Amino acid sequence: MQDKEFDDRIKYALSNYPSAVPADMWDRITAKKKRRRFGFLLFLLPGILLVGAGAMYYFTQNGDTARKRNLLNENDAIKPSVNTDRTQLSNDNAIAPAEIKTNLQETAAGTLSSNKKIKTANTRNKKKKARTASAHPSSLQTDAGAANIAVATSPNDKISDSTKISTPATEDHKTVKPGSTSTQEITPTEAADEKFALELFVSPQAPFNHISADDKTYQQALQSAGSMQLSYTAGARISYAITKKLFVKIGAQYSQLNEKIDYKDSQGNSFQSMNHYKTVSVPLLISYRIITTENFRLHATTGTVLNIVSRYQGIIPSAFGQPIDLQTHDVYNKNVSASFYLSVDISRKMNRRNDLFIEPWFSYRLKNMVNSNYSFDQRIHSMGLSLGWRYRLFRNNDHQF
Amino acid sequence: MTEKEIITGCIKKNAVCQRLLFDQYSRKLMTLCLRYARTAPDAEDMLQESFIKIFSAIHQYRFEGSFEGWIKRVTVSVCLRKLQESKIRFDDVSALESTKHALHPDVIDSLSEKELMQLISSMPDGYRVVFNLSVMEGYTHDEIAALLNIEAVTSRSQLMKARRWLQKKILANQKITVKHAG
Repeated sequence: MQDKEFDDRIKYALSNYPSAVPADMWDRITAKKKRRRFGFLLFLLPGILLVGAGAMYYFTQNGDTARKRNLLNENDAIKPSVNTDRTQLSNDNAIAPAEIKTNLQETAAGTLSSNKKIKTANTRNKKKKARTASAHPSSLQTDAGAANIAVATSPNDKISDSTKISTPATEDHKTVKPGSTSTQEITPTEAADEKFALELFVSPQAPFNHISADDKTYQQALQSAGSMQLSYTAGARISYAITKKLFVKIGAQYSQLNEKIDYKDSQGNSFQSMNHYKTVSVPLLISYRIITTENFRLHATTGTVLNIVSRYQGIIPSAFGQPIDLQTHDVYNKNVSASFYLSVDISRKMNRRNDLFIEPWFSYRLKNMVNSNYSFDQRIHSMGLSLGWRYRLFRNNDHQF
Repeated sequence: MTEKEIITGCIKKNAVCQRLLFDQYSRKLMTLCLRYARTAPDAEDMLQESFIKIFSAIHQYRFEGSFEGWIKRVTVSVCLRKLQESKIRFDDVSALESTKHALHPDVIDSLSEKELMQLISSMPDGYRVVFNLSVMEGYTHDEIAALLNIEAVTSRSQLMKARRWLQKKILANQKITVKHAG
Protein backbone atom coordinates (compact mmCIF):
# COMPACT_ATOMS: atom_id res chain seq x y z
CA MET A 1 0.00 0.00 0.00
CA GLN A 2 1.35 3.40 -0.97
CA ASP A 3 1.83 6.13 1.60
CA LYS A 4 -0.89 8.26 0.05
CA GLU A 5 -3.41 5.46 0.18
CA PHE A 6 -2.45 4.65 3.76
CA ASP A 7 -2.92 8.29 4.77
CA ASP A 8 -6.28 8.52 3.03
CA ARG A 9 -7.57 5.35 4.67
CA ILE A 10 -6.56 6.54 8.11
CA LYS A 11 -8.13 9.94 7.51
CA TYR A 12 -11.34 8.39 6.20
CA ALA A 13 -11.52 5.95 9.10
CA LEU A 14 -11.41 8.77 11.63
CA SER A 15 -13.32 11.40 9.71
CA ASN A 16 -16.59 10.78 11.54
CA TYR A 17 -15.30 9.49 14.82
CA PRO A 18 -17.60 10.93 17.45
CA SER A 19 -15.78 11.51 20.70
CA ALA A 20 -17.76 11.79 23.87
CA VAL A 21 -17.54 15.21 25.46
CA PRO A 22 -17.63 15.24 29.29
CA ALA A 23 -21.04 16.28 30.55
CA ASP A 24 -19.64 19.11 32.63
CA MET A 25 -17.46 20.54 29.87
CA TRP A 26 -19.75 23.52 29.24
CA ASP A 27 -19.80 24.38 32.94
CA ARG A 28 -16.03 24.14 33.05
CA ILE A 29 -15.71 26.48 30.09
CA THR A 30 -18.09 29.08 31.54
CA ALA A 31 -16.44 28.86 34.97
CA LYS A 32 -12.99 29.32 33.47
CA LYS A 33 -14.18 32.27 31.35
CA LYS A 34 -15.38 33.98 34.51
CA ARG A 35 -12.17 33.23 36.37
CA ARG A 36 -10.10 34.66 33.53
CA ARG A 37 -12.11 37.85 33.34
CA PHE A 38 -11.86 38.26 37.07
CA GLY A 39 -8.21 37.27 37.20
CA PHE A 40 -7.34 39.87 34.60
CA LEU A 41 -8.97 42.58 36.65
CA LEU A 42 -7.22 41.44 39.76
CA PHE A 43 -4.09 42.73 38.09
CA LEU A 44 -5.49 46.19 38.79
CA LEU A 45 -4.46 45.95 42.39
CA PRO A 46 -0.79 45.12 41.92
CA GLY A 47 -0.87 47.54 38.99
CA ILE A 48 -1.91 50.37 41.24
CA LEU A 49 0.72 49.33 43.76
CA LEU A 50 3.33 49.30 41.03
CA VAL A 51 2.27 52.75 39.84
CA GLY A 52 2.38 53.93 43.43
CA ALA A 53 5.85 52.49 43.93
CA GLY A 54 6.96 54.05 40.65
CA ALA A 55 5.59 57.40 41.69
CA MET A 56 7.31 57.05 45.03
CA TYR A 57 10.61 56.36 43.30
CA TYR A 58 10.08 59.27 40.92
CA PHE A 59 9.36 61.73 43.67
CA THR A 60 12.19 60.56 45.88
CA GLN A 61 14.72 60.64 43.06
CA ASN A 62 13.75 63.39 40.69
CA GLY A 63 12.37 66.15 42.82
CA ASP A 64 9.28 68.22 43.10
CA THR A 65 9.43 71.59 41.47
CA ALA A 66 6.30 72.82 43.15
CA ARG A 67 7.85 72.26 46.50
CA LYS A 68 11.00 74.05 45.43
CA ARG A 69 8.90 77.02 44.34
CA ASN A 70 7.20 77.08 47.70
CA LEU A 71 10.50 77.03 49.46
CA LEU A 72 11.71 79.97 47.41
CA ASN A 73 8.62 81.97 48.29
CA GLU A 74 9.13 81.08 51.87
CA ASN A 75 12.71 82.26 51.79
CA ASP A 76 11.69 85.57 50.19
CA ALA A 77 9.26 86.12 52.96
CA ILE A 78 11.73 85.68 55.76
CA LYS A 79 14.61 87.61 54.09
CA PRO A 80 18.08 86.43 53.17
CA SER A 81 19.47 86.86 56.66
CA VAL A 82 17.19 84.10 57.80
CA ASN A 83 18.69 81.78 55.26
CA THR A 84 21.80 81.46 57.37
CA ASP A 85 19.70 79.98 60.06
CA ARG A 86 17.29 77.86 58.09
CA THR A 87 17.89 74.75 60.03
CA GLN A 88 17.02 76.64 63.13
CA LEU A 89 13.87 77.95 61.51
CA SER A 90 12.67 74.63 60.35
CA ASN A 91 13.50 72.78 63.48
CA ASP A 92 12.20 75.22 66.05
CA ASN A 93 8.57 74.65 66.34
CA ALA A 94 8.12 77.31 68.94
CA ILE A 95 9.86 80.46 70.01
CA ALA A 96 9.35 81.74 73.47
CA PRO A 97 7.52 85.04 73.83
CA ALA A 98 9.57 87.94 72.59
CA GLU A 99 9.13 91.60 72.73
CA ILE A 100 10.91 93.78 70.31
CA LYS A 101 11.05 97.49 70.51
CA THR A 102 12.57 99.34 67.64
CA ASN A 103 13.05 103.01 67.00
CA LEU A 104 13.98 103.88 63.51
CA GLN A 105 15.03 107.29 62.35
CA GLU A 106 15.55 107.95 58.72
CA THR A 107 17.17 111.26 57.64
CA ALA A 108 16.21 113.27 54.52
CA ALA A 109 19.45 112.10 52.92
CA GLY A 110 18.17 108.62 53.26
CA THR A 111 20.35 107.57 56.11
CA LEU A 112 18.87 105.23 58.50
CA SER A 113 19.51 105.05 62.16
CA SER A 114 17.91 102.59 64.30
CA ASN A 115 17.80 102.09 67.97
CA LYS A 116 16.86 98.63 68.74
CA LYS A 117 15.80 97.40 71.97
CA ILE A 118 15.24 93.79 71.96
CA LYS A 119 14.03 91.75 74.73
CA THR A 120 13.88 88.10 74.03
CA ALA A 121 13.63 85.14 76.19
CA ASN A 122 16.44 82.72 76.40
CA THR A 123 18.27 81.59 73.31
CA ARG A 124 20.84 83.44 71.25
CA ASN A 125 19.43 82.12 68.05
CA LYS A 126 16.09 83.63 68.78
CA LYS A 127 17.75 86.93 69.52
CA LYS A 128 19.54 86.67 66.23
CA LYS A 129 16.30 86.14 64.45
CA ALA A 130 14.70 89.05 66.26
CA ARG A 131 17.63 91.31 65.35
CA THR A 132 17.36 90.27 61.78
CA ALA A 133 13.71 91.00 61.85
CA SER A 134 14.19 94.47 63.25
CA ALA A 135 16.70 95.31 60.57
CA HIS A 136 14.08 94.34 58.01
CA PRO A 137 10.80 95.44 59.46
CA SER A 138 8.93 94.68 56.26
CA SER A 139 9.78 91.07 56.63
CA LEU A 140 8.04 90.96 59.93
CA GLN A 141 4.94 92.28 58.33
CA THR A 142 4.83 89.11 56.36
CA ASP A 143 4.12 87.32 59.58
CA ALA A 144 0.71 88.88 59.46
CA GLY A 145 -1.39 88.40 62.48
CA ALA A 146 1.57 87.44 64.61
CA ALA A 147 2.90 90.95 65.10
CA ASN A 148 1.35 94.20 66.10
CA ILE A 149 3.10 97.09 64.48
CA ALA A 150 2.51 100.67 65.43
CA VAL A 151 4.00 103.38 63.22
CA ALA A 152 4.27 107.09 64.05
CA THR A 153 5.51 109.42 61.34
CA SER A 154 6.85 112.86 62.13
CA PRO A 155 6.45 115.89 59.82
CA ASN A 156 9.22 117.87 57.98
CA ASP A 157 10.21 115.04 55.73
CA LYS A 158 11.90 113.40 58.62
CA ILE A 159 10.69 110.00 59.06
CA SER A 160 10.67 108.86 62.58
CA ASP A 161 9.48 105.40 62.95
CA SER A 162 8.69 104.23 66.32
CA THR A 163 7.94 100.66 65.89
CA LYS A 164 6.91 98.44 68.61
CA ILE A 165 6.67 94.87 67.68
CA SER A 166 5.38 92.37 70.02
CA THR A 167 5.24 88.75 69.03
CA PRO A 168 3.23 86.84 71.53
CA ALA A 169 4.04 83.16 71.34
CA THR A 170 5.73 83.63 68.01
CA GLU A 171 5.17 80.62 65.83
CA ASP A 172 7.87 79.74 63.49
CA HIS A 173 6.37 79.11 60.05
CA LYS A 174 2.97 79.28 61.68
CA THR A 175 3.38 75.97 63.43
CA VAL A 176 2.40 75.45 66.99
CA LYS A 177 4.26 74.34 70.02
CA PRO A 178 4.72 70.62 70.41
CA GLY A 179 1.81 69.10 72.16
CA SER A 180 -0.56 71.82 71.08
CA THR A 181 -3.95 70.57 69.98
CA SER A 182 -5.39 73.70 68.49
CA THR A 183 -6.28 73.93 64.84
CA GLN A 184 -3.75 75.62 62.61
CA GLU A 185 -2.83 76.50 59.05
CA ILE A 186 -0.75 74.30 56.80
CA THR A 187 2.59 75.81 55.81
CA PRO A 188 3.62 75.83 52.16
CA THR A 189 6.25 73.24 53.01
CA GLU A 190 3.69 70.91 54.47
CA ALA A 191 1.33 71.54 51.59
CA ALA A 192 4.04 70.52 49.14
CA ASP A 193 4.74 67.42 51.23
CA GLU A 194 1.14 66.41 50.99
CA LYS A 195 0.66 66.99 47.27
CA PHE A 196 0.77 63.27 46.48
CA ALA A 197 0.44 60.39 48.89
CA LEU A 198 0.04 56.67 48.61
CA GLU A 199 -2.41 55.05 50.97
CA LEU A 200 -2.53 51.35 51.72
CA PHE A 201 -5.32 50.05 53.88
CA VAL A 202 -7.05 46.97 55.15
CA SER A 203 -10.44 46.94 56.74
CA PRO A 204 -12.53 44.46 58.62
CA GLN A 205 -16.15 45.13 57.78
CA ALA A 206 -19.65 44.19 58.81
CA PRO A 207 -22.02 43.73 55.85
CA PHE A 208 -25.79 44.22 56.06
CA ASN A 209 -28.06 42.26 53.77
CA HIS A 210 -31.17 43.92 52.39
CA ILE A 211 -33.44 41.48 50.52
CA SER A 212 -36.86 42.09 49.06
CA ALA A 213 -39.13 39.98 46.85
CA ASP A 214 -42.70 40.10 45.62
CA ASP A 215 -43.16 36.61 46.99
CA LYS A 216 -42.93 37.34 50.71
CA THR A 217 -42.51 33.66 51.58
CA TYR A 218 -39.45 33.48 49.34
CA GLN A 219 -38.18 36.78 50.77
CA GLN A 220 -38.45 35.34 54.26
CA ALA A 221 -36.77 32.10 53.18
CA LEU A 222 -33.83 34.02 51.72
CA GLN A 223 -33.53 36.24 54.77
CA SER A 224 -33.60 33.35 57.22
CA ALA A 225 -31.25 31.17 55.12
CA GLY A 226 -28.34 33.59 55.21
CA SER A 227 -26.44 35.47 57.88
CA MET A 228 -23.67 37.88 56.94
CA GLN A 229 -20.28 37.22 58.51
CA LEU A 230 -17.22 39.30 59.24
CA SER A 231 -15.74 40.37 55.91
CA TYR A 232 -12.84 42.47 54.73
CA THR A 233 -11.58 44.98 52.21
CA ALA A 234 -8.02 45.81 51.25
CA GLY A 235 -6.72 48.30 48.77
CA ALA A 236 -4.47 51.11 47.70
CA ARG A 237 -5.24 54.73 46.85
CA ILE A 238 -3.35 57.67 45.50
CA SER A 239 -4.23 60.96 47.16
CA TYR A 240 -3.73 64.30 45.43
CA ALA A 241 -4.10 67.63 47.21
CA ILE A 242 -6.11 70.10 45.13
CA THR A 243 -5.77 72.72 47.82
CA LYS A 244 -4.32 72.67 51.30
CA LYS A 245 -7.50 71.15 52.63
CA LEU A 246 -9.12 69.40 49.71
CA PHE A 247 -7.93 66.06 48.38
CA VAL A 248 -9.05 63.69 45.65
CA LYS A 249 -8.33 60.01 45.92
CA ILE A 250 -8.40 57.18 43.40
CA GLY A 251 -7.29 53.61 43.70
CA ALA A 252 -8.33 49.99 43.64
CA GLN A 253 -9.74 47.79 46.32
CA TYR A 254 -10.66 44.17 46.76
CA SER A 255 -13.51 43.13 49.02
CA GLN A 256 -14.72 39.77 50.14
CA LEU A 257 -18.11 39.60 51.76
CA ASN A 258 -18.95 36.38 53.54
CA GLU A 259 -22.39 34.96 54.16
CA LYS A 260 -23.24 31.76 55.96
CA ILE A 261 -26.09 29.86 54.32
CA ASP A 262 -27.95 27.28 56.35
CA TYR A 263 -31.44 26.12 55.46
CA LYS A 264 -33.66 23.09 54.94
CA ASP A 265 -35.92 22.50 51.98
CA SER A 266 -39.54 21.35 52.28
CA GLN A 267 -38.41 17.70 52.37
CA GLY A 268 -36.07 18.29 55.27
CA ASN A 269 -32.84 18.19 53.29
CA SER A 270 -30.25 20.42 54.89
CA PHE A 271 -28.07 22.79 52.84
CA GLN A 272 -25.11 24.66 54.24
CA SER A 273 -22.54 26.85 52.58
CA MET A 274 -20.19 29.75 53.21
CA ASN A 275 -20.89 32.12 50.38
CA HIS A 276 -18.22 34.53 49.19
CA TYR A 277 -19.00 37.70 47.26
CA LYS A 278 -15.74 38.98 45.84
CA THR A 279 -15.47 42.36 44.21
CA VAL A 280 -12.82 44.53 42.66
CA SER A 281 -13.73 48.21 42.78
CA VAL A 282 -12.29 51.63 42.09
CA PRO A 283 -12.91 54.26 44.78
CA LEU A 284 -13.31 57.83 43.53
CA LEU A 285 -13.27 59.97 46.63
CA ILE A 286 -13.03 63.56 47.71
CA SER A 287 -11.69 64.36 51.14
CA TYR A 288 -11.82 67.56 53.17
CA ARG A 289 -9.45 68.29 56.04
CA ILE A 290 -11.46 69.48 59.00
CA ILE A 291 -8.89 69.64 61.78
CA THR A 292 -5.13 70.01 61.64
CA THR A 293 -2.86 69.83 64.62
CA GLU A 294 0.83 69.20 64.98
CA ASN A 295 0.42 65.45 64.94
CA PHE A 296 -3.16 64.72 64.03
CA ARG A 297 -5.38 65.31 61.02
CA LEU A 298 -9.09 64.76 60.69
CA HIS A 299 -10.67 64.36 57.27
CA ALA A 300 -14.22 63.80 56.11
CA THR A 301 -14.34 61.74 52.95
CA THR A 302 -17.14 60.95 50.54
CA GLY A 303 -17.56 59.66 47.03
CA THR A 304 -18.41 56.57 45.07
CA VAL A 305 -16.87 53.15 44.91
CA LEU A 306 -17.31 51.87 41.36
CA ASN A 307 -17.55 48.14 41.10
CA ILE A 308 -15.53 46.78 38.20
CA VAL A 309 -16.22 43.10 38.51
CA SER A 310 -17.71 40.69 41.00
CA ARG A 311 -17.51 36.98 41.48
CA TYR A 312 -19.70 34.79 43.61
CA GLN A 313 -19.27 31.42 45.25
CA GLY A 314 -21.75 29.38 47.22
CA ILE A 315 -25.42 28.62 47.06
CA ILE A 316 -28.72 30.33 47.70
CA PRO A 317 -32.14 28.72 47.92
CA SER A 318 -34.38 28.91 44.88
CA ALA A 319 -38.05 29.77 45.27
CA PHE A 320 -38.68 25.99 45.47
CA GLY A 321 -35.97 25.38 48.05
CA GLN A 322 -33.43 23.82 45.70
CA PRO A 323 -29.90 25.22 46.02
CA ILE A 324 -28.77 27.48 43.19
CA ASP A 325 -25.03 27.29 42.58
CA LEU A 326 -23.75 30.86 42.30
CA GLN A 327 -20.75 29.85 40.20
CA THR A 328 -22.72 28.20 37.45
CA HIS A 329 -25.80 30.42 37.54
CA ASP A 330 -25.69 34.14 36.92
CA VAL A 331 -27.83 35.02 39.93
CA TYR A 332 -25.89 38.18 40.64
CA ASN A 333 -24.65 40.75 38.17
CA LYS A 334 -20.98 40.74 37.29
CA ASN A 335 -20.93 44.48 37.75
CA VAL A 336 -23.03 45.70 40.63
CA SER A 337 -22.61 49.38 39.80
CA ALA A 338 -21.62 51.95 42.40
CA SER A 339 -21.79 52.38 46.14
CA PHE A 340 -22.00 55.63 48.04
CA TYR A 341 -19.08 55.97 50.43
CA LEU A 342 -18.76 58.08 53.55
CA SER A 343 -15.94 58.07 56.07
CA VAL A 344 -14.02 60.00 58.67
CA ASP A 345 -10.28 59.57 58.67
CA ILE A 346 -8.15 60.29 61.70
CA SER A 347 -4.45 60.20 60.97
CA ARG A 348 -1.43 60.36 63.21
CA LYS A 349 1.66 61.93 61.70
CA MET A 350 4.58 59.64 62.43
CA ASN A 351 7.17 61.74 60.63
CA ARG A 352 7.36 64.03 57.65
CA ARG A 353 6.72 61.19 55.25
CA ASN A 354 4.55 58.67 57.06
CA ASP A 355 1.12 58.72 58.65
CA LEU A 356 -0.94 55.99 60.19
CA PHE A 357 -4.69 56.35 59.96
CA ILE A 358 -7.91 54.79 61.02
CA GLU A 359 -11.00 55.38 58.98
CA PRO A 360 -14.46 54.33 60.09
CA TRP A 361 -16.61 54.14 56.95
CA PHE A 362 -20.03 53.31 55.63
CA SER A 363 -20.86 52.09 52.16
CA TYR A 364 -24.37 52.10 50.70
CA ARG A 365 -24.98 50.06 47.58
CA LEU A 366 -26.97 52.11 45.13
CA LYS A 367 -28.28 49.39 42.85
CA ASN A 368 -29.85 45.95 43.07
CA MET A 369 -27.16 43.33 42.53
CA VAL A 370 -29.45 40.50 41.40
CA ASN A 371 -29.85 39.56 37.76
CA SER A 372 -33.30 40.54 36.44
CA ASN A 373 -34.06 36.88 35.65
CA TYR A 374 -34.40 36.20 39.36
CA SER A 375 -37.41 37.23 41.37
CA PHE A 376 -35.79 39.04 44.26
CA ASP A 377 -33.73 42.16 44.94
CA GLN A 378 -30.66 42.24 47.11
CA ARG A 379 -28.25 44.93 48.21
CA ILE A 380 -25.41 44.45 50.63
CA HIS A 381 -24.39 47.59 52.51
CA SER A 382 -21.34 47.63 54.73
CA MET A 383 -19.62 49.48 57.48
CA GLY A 384 -16.04 48.97 58.50
CA LEU A 385 -12.90 50.33 60.02
CA SER A 386 -9.93 50.84 57.74
CA LEU A 387 -6.47 50.73 59.22
CA GLY A 388 -3.95 52.28 56.92
CA TRP A 389 -0.59 53.74 56.14
CA ARG A 390 -0.11 56.96 54.20
CA TYR A 391 3.21 57.57 52.51
CA ARG A 392 3.84 61.09 51.19
CA LEU A 393 5.46 61.20 47.81
CA PHE A 394 8.05 63.98 47.73
CA ARG A 395 11.73 63.99 47.07
CA ASN A 396 14.23 63.38 49.83
CA ASN A 397 16.60 66.26 49.06
CA ASP A 398 13.98 68.76 50.19
CA HIS A 399 15.21 67.92 53.66
CA GLN A 400 18.65 69.30 52.86
CA PHE A 401 18.28 72.91 53.93
CA MET B 1 -30.86 29.55 13.92
CA THR B 2 -28.39 29.66 11.05
CA GLU B 3 -24.66 29.30 11.53
CA LYS B 4 -24.17 32.96 10.65
CA GLU B 5 -26.69 34.01 13.31
CA ILE B 6 -24.97 31.82 15.87
CA ILE B 7 -21.57 33.30 15.00
CA THR B 8 -22.96 36.83 15.12
CA GLY B 9 -24.50 36.06 18.52
CA CYS B 10 -21.18 34.70 19.76
CA ILE B 11 -19.46 37.89 18.60
CA LYS B 12 -21.97 39.78 20.78
CA LYS B 13 -21.12 37.37 23.62
CA ASN B 14 -24.63 35.96 23.68
CA ALA B 15 -24.54 32.97 26.06
CA VAL B 16 -27.28 31.08 24.21
CA CYS B 17 -25.41 31.32 20.90
CA GLN B 18 -22.17 30.27 22.59
CA ARG B 19 -23.93 27.22 23.95
CA LEU B 20 -25.34 26.38 20.51
CA LEU B 21 -21.90 26.66 18.97
CA PHE B 22 -20.50 24.43 21.68
CA ASP B 23 -23.22 21.81 21.11
CA GLN B 24 -22.60 21.88 17.38
CA TYR B 25 -18.82 21.50 17.37
CA SER B 26 -17.71 20.10 20.72
CA ARG B 27 -17.66 16.43 19.61
CA LYS B 28 -15.67 17.12 16.46
CA LEU B 29 -13.20 19.25 18.34
CA MET B 30 -12.93 16.66 21.10
CA THR B 31 -11.87 14.12 18.46
CA LEU B 32 -9.30 16.55 17.18
CA CYS B 33 -7.97 17.19 20.69
CA LEU B 34 -7.80 13.46 21.45
CA ARG B 35 -5.63 12.96 18.37
CA TYR B 36 -3.11 15.53 19.61
CA ALA B 37 -3.23 14.82 23.34
CA ARG B 38 -1.30 12.17 25.16
CA THR B 39 -4.20 11.38 27.49
CA ALA B 40 -7.94 11.96 27.65
CA PRO B 41 -7.71 14.51 30.51
CA ASP B 42 -5.14 16.44 28.44
CA ALA B 43 -7.61 16.41 25.55
CA GLU B 44 -10.35 17.76 27.80
CA ASP B 45 -8.09 20.60 28.91
CA MET B 46 -7.31 21.35 25.26
CA LEU B 47 -11.00 21.38 24.36
CA GLN B 48 -11.80 23.72 27.23
CA GLU B 49 -8.99 26.10 26.28
CA SER B 50 -10.01 25.91 22.63
CA PHE B 51 -13.58 27.04 23.27
CA ILE B 52 -12.40 29.88 25.49
CA LYS B 53 -10.05 30.92 22.69
CA ILE B 54 -12.78 30.55 20.06
CA PHE B 55 -15.22 32.71 22.03
CA SER B 56 -12.65 35.38 22.71
CA ALA B 57 -11.34 35.48 19.12
CA ILE B 58 -14.52 34.82 17.16
CA HIS B 59 -14.76 38.47 16.12
CA GLN B 60 -11.66 37.81 14.02
CA TYR B 61 -13.62 35.41 11.80
CA ARG B 62 -14.47 37.35 8.62
CA PHE B 63 -17.19 35.04 7.29
CA GLU B 64 -14.79 34.04 4.53
CA GLY B 65 -14.16 30.34 4.04
CA SER B 66 -15.41 27.49 6.18
CA PHE B 67 -16.17 28.32 9.79
CA GLU B 68 -15.45 24.73 10.76
CA GLY B 69 -12.01 25.10 9.17
CA TRP B 70 -11.44 28.26 11.21
CA ILE B 71 -12.38 26.76 14.56
CA LYS B 72 -10.29 23.67 13.79
CA ARG B 73 -7.28 25.88 13.07
CA VAL B 74 -7.84 27.69 16.37
CA THR B 75 -8.12 24.35 18.18
CA VAL B 76 -4.99 22.98 16.54
CA SER B 77 -3.05 26.08 17.60
CA VAL B 78 -4.28 25.62 21.19
CA CYS B 79 -3.32 21.94 21.12
CA LEU B 80 0.15 22.74 19.81
CA ARG B 81 0.65 25.43 22.43
CA LYS B 82 -0.37 23.01 25.17
CA LEU B 83 1.98 20.35 23.84
CA GLN B 84 4.84 22.79 23.48
CA GLU B 85 4.49 23.71 27.14
CA SER B 86 6.02 20.31 27.81
CA LYS B 87 8.37 20.42 24.79
CA ILE B 88 7.64 18.17 21.83
CA ARG B 89 10.61 15.94 21.07
CA PHE B 90 11.33 15.19 17.42
CA ASP B 91 13.79 12.39 17.92
CA ASP B 92 14.01 8.92 16.41
CA VAL B 93 12.28 6.37 18.51
CA SER B 94 13.68 3.41 16.63
CA ALA B 95 15.66 2.80 13.49
CA LEU B 96 13.06 0.19 12.56
CA GLU B 97 10.54 2.90 11.72
CA SER B 98 12.38 3.64 8.49
CA THR B 99 11.57 0.14 7.28
CA LYS B 100 8.41 0.01 5.19
CA HIS B 101 5.88 -2.56 6.33
CA ALA B 102 3.75 -4.46 3.81
CA LEU B 103 0.21 -3.65 4.84
CA HIS B 104 -2.97 -4.81 3.17
CA PRO B 105 -5.59 -2.02 2.85
CA ASP B 106 -8.25 -4.13 4.54
CA VAL B 107 -6.20 -4.27 7.68
CA ILE B 108 -6.98 -0.64 8.42
CA ASP B 109 -10.67 -1.21 7.75
CA SER B 110 -10.66 -4.10 10.19
CA LEU B 111 -9.64 -1.76 13.02
CA SER B 112 -12.33 0.04 14.91
CA GLU B 113 -12.20 3.85 15.08
CA LYS B 114 -11.50 3.61 18.78
CA GLU B 115 -8.55 1.27 18.25
CA LEU B 116 -7.16 3.59 15.61
CA MET B 117 -7.54 6.57 17.89
CA GLN B 118 -5.75 4.72 20.66
CA LEU B 119 -2.89 3.88 18.32
CA ILE B 120 -2.55 7.48 17.23
CA SER B 121 -2.65 8.70 20.82
CA SER B 122 0.11 6.30 21.75
CA MET B 123 2.46 7.60 19.05
CA PRO B 124 5.55 9.50 20.21
CA ASP B 125 4.85 13.23 20.42
CA GLY B 126 6.80 14.33 17.36
CA TYR B 127 5.37 11.61 15.15
CA ARG B 128 1.83 12.19 16.37
CA VAL B 129 1.88 15.95 15.91
CA VAL B 130 3.40 15.88 12.43
CA PHE B 131 1.19 12.98 11.33
CA ASN B 132 -1.92 14.82 12.51
CA LEU B 133 -0.93 18.11 10.98
CA SER B 134 0.03 16.59 7.66
CA VAL B 135 -2.38 13.70 7.15
CA MET B 136 -5.44 14.76 9.13
CA GLU B 137 -5.34 18.57 8.78
CA GLY B 138 -3.60 18.73 5.41
CA TYR B 139 -0.85 21.20 6.30
CA THR B 140 2.20 21.29 4.01
CA HIS B 141 5.64 20.55 5.41
CA ASP B 142 6.58 24.21 5.13
CA GLU B 143 3.51 25.17 7.15
CA ILE B 144 4.25 22.49 9.72
CA ALA B 145 7.84 23.68 9.92
CA ALA B 146 6.64 27.21 10.60
CA LEU B 147 4.07 26.08 13.18
CA LEU B 148 6.49 23.90 15.10
CA ASN B 149 9.61 25.96 14.54
CA ILE B 150 11.46 23.07 12.92
CA GLU B 151 13.01 22.43 9.50
CA ALA B 152 10.72 21.20 6.71
CA VAL B 153 13.02 18.24 6.25
CA THR B 154 12.50 17.28 9.90
CA SER B 155 8.78 17.40 9.30
CA ARG B 156 9.13 15.08 6.29
CA SER B 157 11.27 12.58 8.13
CA GLN B 158 8.97 12.63 11.19
CA LEU B 159 5.99 11.95 8.93
CA MET B 160 7.71 9.07 7.23
CA LYS B 161 8.72 7.54 10.54
CA ALA B 162 5.24 8.11 11.95
CA ARG B 163 3.73 6.15 9.07
CA ARG B 164 6.13 3.27 9.60
CA TRP B 165 5.50 3.31 13.33
CA LEU B 166 1.75 3.21 12.79
CA GLN B 167 1.93 0.50 10.14
CA LYS B 168 4.07 -1.61 12.44
CA LYS B 169 1.62 -1.17 15.30
CA ILE B 170 -1.35 -1.97 13.06
CA LEU B 171 0.36 -5.14 11.88
CA ALA B 172 1.19 -6.12 15.43
CA ASN B 173 -2.39 -5.48 16.40
CA GLN B 174 -3.61 -7.63 13.50
CA LYS B 175 -1.32 -10.49 14.51
CA ILE B 176 -2.62 -10.39 18.04
CA THR B 177 -6.19 -10.41 16.74
CA VAL B 178 -5.49 -13.36 14.43
CA LYS B 179 -3.79 -15.21 17.29
CA HIS B 180 -6.82 -14.69 19.49
CA ALA B 181 -9.14 -15.81 16.68
CA GLY B 182 -6.97 -18.93 16.07
